[in-house]
Amino acid sequence: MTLQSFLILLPSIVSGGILTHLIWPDKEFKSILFKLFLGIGIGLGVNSLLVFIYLLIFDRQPGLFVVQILIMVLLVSMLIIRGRPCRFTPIAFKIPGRTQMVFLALAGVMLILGLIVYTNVSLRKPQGAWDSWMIYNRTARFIYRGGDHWRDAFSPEMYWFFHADYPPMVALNVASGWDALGQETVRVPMLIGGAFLLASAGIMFAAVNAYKTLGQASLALLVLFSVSDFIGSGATQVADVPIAFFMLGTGILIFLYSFKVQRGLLVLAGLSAGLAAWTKNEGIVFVLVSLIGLGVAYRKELKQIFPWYVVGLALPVAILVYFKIVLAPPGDLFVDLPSQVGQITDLNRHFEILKQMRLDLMALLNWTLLIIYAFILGVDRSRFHFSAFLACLIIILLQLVGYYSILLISPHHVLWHLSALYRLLLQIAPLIVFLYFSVVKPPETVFQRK
Amino acid sequence: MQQIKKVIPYLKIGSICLLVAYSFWSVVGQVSQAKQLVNTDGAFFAEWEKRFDPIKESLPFEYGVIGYAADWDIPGKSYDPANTEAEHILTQYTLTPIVVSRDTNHEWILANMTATDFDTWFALQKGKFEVTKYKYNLYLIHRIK
Repeated sequence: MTLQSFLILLPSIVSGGILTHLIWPDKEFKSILFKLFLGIGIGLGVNSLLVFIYLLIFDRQPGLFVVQILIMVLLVSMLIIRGRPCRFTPIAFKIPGRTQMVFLALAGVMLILGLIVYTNVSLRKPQGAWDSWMIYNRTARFIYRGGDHWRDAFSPEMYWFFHADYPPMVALNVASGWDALGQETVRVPMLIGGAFLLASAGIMFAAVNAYKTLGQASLALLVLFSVSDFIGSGATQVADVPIAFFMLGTGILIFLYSFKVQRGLLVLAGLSAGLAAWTKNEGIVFVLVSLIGLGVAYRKELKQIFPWYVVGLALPVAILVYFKIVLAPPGDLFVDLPSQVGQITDLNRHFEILKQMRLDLMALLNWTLLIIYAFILGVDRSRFHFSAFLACLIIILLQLVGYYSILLISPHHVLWHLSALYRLLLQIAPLIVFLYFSVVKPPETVFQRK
Repeated sequence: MQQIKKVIPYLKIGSICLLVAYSFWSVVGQVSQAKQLVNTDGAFFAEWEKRFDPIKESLPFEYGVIGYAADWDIPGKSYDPANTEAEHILTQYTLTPIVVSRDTNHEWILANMTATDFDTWFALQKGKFEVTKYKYNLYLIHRIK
């Protein structure tokens, strides 16, 4: 069943890879490696949009899997018509040196360890975490079991605890997988979680490799996997790793744009940000802060940047707006806004949030070690792109401010709501790790012969 | 000054080794944590499915909304909110695609409470009902028009 579940996800993943290549047809080896992993998440994200549109038009009539296959065939044809896909520049591929091979081997061992953790958690918690069966797999069950009544997944009769207003990216992928297999199996949500985990690690590695060095990319992968509960969260079928993937993808694509200056990267960055909003409500905040981040950091090039970013955002955001207006029940966060806004004067609330934020941030990464490491290795100014760095820094900081503000005006008891804070921080952790390794000098500089 | 300069490369190598060691130590910790997890999911969810099979069979529809009454509906009753909410969530997960609403103003209501609590709650309900009792303190109530 695991192999079958993997095979039914394959058309979406392949389509995602090709779509990514068609939007950004860079043929450098490092770019292709990055697009291979970016395509996994973009493919699954776009597939969920396709499933949603299909459901709106045809309800639960059979034929979805055929449409997925046809789209894949269409994209492959476009790729063939447009040019020879395998003609990437072989000169760009350098055989790693001995030091780099050591780092690469360490990254390989880490990947195996990550796979062991993922498999262990998946097998011991096959139904996933609390949120997976309360929100994502419940919604998927409604869509799969509900026939033409699939909209009941978003019924206003559903108690707020079920978060029926959450965007259904993960649930739609799970339901479409079950639909293709003809049965409900835990293997589908398990593999979707694993795919996003692998894709996050892959884009981190490939992007740092493209932007910096192979040794730096290996270290970034090591630190990413050391983020507390990152692998575990990916294995428990919740949406935090998928949204983390889209946030990381957006940040990386903005970075890559700063030194490649290719419009396709901005379209993909917009698409990735839009898919973050289509994955979880926190992604809506992310879209807004990414627009601010880009606006501030690239204020002199707004006319060149914004239109392409918005082109990427358009489809997922338009579908999200439709979902929120037509299908989703009211959420639980904004029930009595005037009195909620009044909570901003509650000092105790500020204190509780700050206290928990400090604790959770400290638990996320070993900051002391990272600061000492950066201090000793130093800052790499050779490939420093200030605008990209500033955009990502603003995005991270404003996203934190966004989480803080929501917790501040939340209608729920502050201590209860704070229990979700760590998972929120987990969503931006990969982007923090990427930003860190884009600034610090790569390890190769230490081992260079002078 | 020269001595410090001589030490710096070793410091750099040391810090790289430390970062690598810390990352591995952290992930190895996750491996042992994951190994300690006990797979209770399979039996737990199967048991819950079994519990609701007769309810599914008794309901005259496959889709729609039913009400759900639990300890929170009994005036003055002190209860564990986490447990009671967890039971509602599991009930919803199991009975999907039927919506299990907390609003009891529906033709069909599922009550999940002890016999004594059910008597207290049911005495407060107005109208005519048909009640079927099931195992595990479950009651299916049909409001007769």
